[in-house]
Amino acid sequence: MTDLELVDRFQKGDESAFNELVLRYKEKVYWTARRFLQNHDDADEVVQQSFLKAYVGLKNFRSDSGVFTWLYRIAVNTALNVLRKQRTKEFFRLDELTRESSPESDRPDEQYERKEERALIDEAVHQLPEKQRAVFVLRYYDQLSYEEIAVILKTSVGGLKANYFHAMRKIEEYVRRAHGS
Amino acid sequence: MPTGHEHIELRLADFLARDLPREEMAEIQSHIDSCPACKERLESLKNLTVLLDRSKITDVPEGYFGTILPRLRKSLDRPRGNRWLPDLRWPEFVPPVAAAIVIAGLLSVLSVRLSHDASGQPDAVSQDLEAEDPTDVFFRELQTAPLTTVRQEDAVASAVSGTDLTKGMLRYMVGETTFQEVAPLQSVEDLDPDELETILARLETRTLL
Ligand SMILES: [Zn+2]
Repeated sequence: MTDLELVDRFQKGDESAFNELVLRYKEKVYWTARRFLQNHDDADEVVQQSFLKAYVGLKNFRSDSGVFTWLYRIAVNTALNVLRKQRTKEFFRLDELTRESSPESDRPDEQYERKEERALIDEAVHQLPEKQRAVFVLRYYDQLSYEEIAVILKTSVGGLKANYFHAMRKIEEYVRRAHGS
Repeated sequence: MPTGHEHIELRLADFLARDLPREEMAEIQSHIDSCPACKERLESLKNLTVLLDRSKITDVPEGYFGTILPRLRKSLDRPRGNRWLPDLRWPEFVPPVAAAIVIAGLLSVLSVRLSHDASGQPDAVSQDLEAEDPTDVFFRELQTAPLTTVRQEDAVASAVSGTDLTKGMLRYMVGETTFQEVAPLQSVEDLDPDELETILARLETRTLL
């Protein structure tokens, strides 16, 4: 069954059609949020909030761009809100950084170097402005096309290419500086 | 440096991912074959993607994905009124909002000032999406509420000097100079009551405007 057929059934009162959509997209939404926010708890919050919003929004959903893109848009927006919350906390120094600096530190089988690398990439991504960060996650990890990302972020394809380029560049420079060369 | 390089550079990551039309792939390949600078950029980018792939996050708490739908259904079966705004009592809510307006106002003025240097178009991310969410509606209204203006960035810095709210931190918050970067301060309601109290206590002792 296609996404649109599920939406149609949901709009006619079939709750199980909504469940099916959740099952279909929960992992994608989670990974996008996780890579964007860099920790599990925040990503989980985004997943829950996004699907709650989708549940409400789907009642009036009319597709120009597809359920998947629409859902991504909700997820990215929700993740942005959580990111701002993170930054507010950092700003006021009310909290230790919520991101994971070495998420697998209790795993004995992971090599020390690997953990260091992960922490370094996390830091590099962490310093990106939010739009570059969103574009980077959607493009690099989710491998969405610029056209899809443009719909999700409501922006132009040309601008996105520049955003992606700058994001990669900044990550690269951050890593290079960290390696002291 | 000829402009050709920048044009190529912009697409190197997509070239590496083999995610370009055939003609563009060929165009870039032939440029790289004859341009040491771009070839070096490509190598460097290749190293980065190796690092990115190797350090990709893949760990999730065991059984996590199985919990998503059941928890969601549990929330959905709760009475509608409580879904979005958990237990906001007005006497507690008003002061934080007042603080949010003050801070948002300060920083939006600041960001407008700074954004003169920034090129590019306004950020369209995260506007007008979930009209049903009362929190969003509330904060959108808050955004357009009349605000007392602050003449310059220095005024902000001096108003909050001697605290953790230094000029540098303000700059950090508006680092990218878009209003988006400032928006966290409009989500003050997302903070825990204790955190809010701390913020308010800090603000209380200062004349901001
Ligand atoms: Zn070149």
